[in-house]
Amino acid sequence: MDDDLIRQHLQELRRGTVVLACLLSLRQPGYGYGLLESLDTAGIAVDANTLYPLLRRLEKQGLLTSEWNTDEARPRKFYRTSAEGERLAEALVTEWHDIDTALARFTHGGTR
Amino acid sequence: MTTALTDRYVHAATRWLPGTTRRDVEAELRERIADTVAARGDSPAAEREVLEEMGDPLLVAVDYTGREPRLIGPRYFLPWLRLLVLVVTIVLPIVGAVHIISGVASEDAIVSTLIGAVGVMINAAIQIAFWVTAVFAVLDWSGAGEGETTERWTVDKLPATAKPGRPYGETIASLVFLAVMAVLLIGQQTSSPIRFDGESIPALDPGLWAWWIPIVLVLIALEVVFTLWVHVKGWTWLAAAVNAALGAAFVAATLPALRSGDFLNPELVERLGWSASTLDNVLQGIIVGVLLVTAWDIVDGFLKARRARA
Repeated sequence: MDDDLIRQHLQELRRGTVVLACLLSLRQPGYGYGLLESLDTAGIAVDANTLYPLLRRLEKQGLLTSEWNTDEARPRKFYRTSAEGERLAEALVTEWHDIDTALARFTHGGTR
Repeated sequence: MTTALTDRYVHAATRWLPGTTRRDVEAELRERIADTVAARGDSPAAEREVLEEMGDPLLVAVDYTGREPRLIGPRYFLPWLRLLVLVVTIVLPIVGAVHIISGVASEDAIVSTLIGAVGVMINAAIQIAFWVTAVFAVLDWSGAGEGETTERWTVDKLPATAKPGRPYGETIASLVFLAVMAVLLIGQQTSSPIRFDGESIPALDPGLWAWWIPIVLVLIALEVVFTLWVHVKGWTWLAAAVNAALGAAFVAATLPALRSGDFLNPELVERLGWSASTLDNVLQGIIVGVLLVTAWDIVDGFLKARRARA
């Protein structure tokens, strides 16, 4: 099979999980580049071009709150998961497990 | 370490954004660029690399603000397309026909009238496309109707039958036929193609201008409206009845003209050297032809209405 095709579908499969990873990780406040690195270390590869706009979007949706930290030489925007974000993360985790269980039936128990 | 290059990049990315968003995105971009460049060794080469990885600043702004760079979005695309097609298909034939009729009436050469008509129609199409698009673009950008679906679809909106309207080909053929009829009707008088010794001779009795030709032109105009109506609504019993009425009106107007004997131009008859009985036969033939064609057209309308209902 075409490598590009595989990559494309893997990317689609991962897309939604990046949101979940952000919501879970940012229960501890974090800034863009720091989050990028910690996600990368955790094995969740995400492009910076995707992550930064995503953080803005999640903030707009009220799932993250933000605060500019000007203590250091460079001002940084610190994000933190809001109460609403926590609730969404919970729902997403539950869904994730449900899907996993459902898929397990196909992968382990044949095709039915 | 960031330099003037970063300043230029940030400026290019944020210059079109509105005030508060602009300052916000600007600060975020600076943070992002500074952090990434620092992680890569804080060199001018790294800065260059980072900016190039981020890509076109305008697209970055699009990503950050979530506002897609588009003129008319998915919300208004279909209403825009429908209205554009509808207006163009209704207005262009009318504009073209009006130009041809007025051109023929003013005795311009038929070729230049036709070329002029094409030009006028192209002009009208451009105007229509521009204004319809402009209105929808303003609607889309001003966020009117944001969040609500413009046209909630229900099964009631399904066409009554698989194919209610007539296919475009048939409609266009009808409109072209009607336009040609109108042009011939007027053209036979003003610039008749029938020539004897270089002299152009009208085919029909000029006396018919007093009543028959205007009536038929009005009927042709009504037929144009009728054709468009049927195209949109499809053949119904009502459409068939209107079709029959139009046909009957044509016969009612035409039969007296034919039977009075003053139908063809007497001058033409004379030049052709027809005797009174030949003329009579020709007129009889035309009467039979008119009756047959009209009768078939009326029956055809009802057949189409029945088929559309089935």
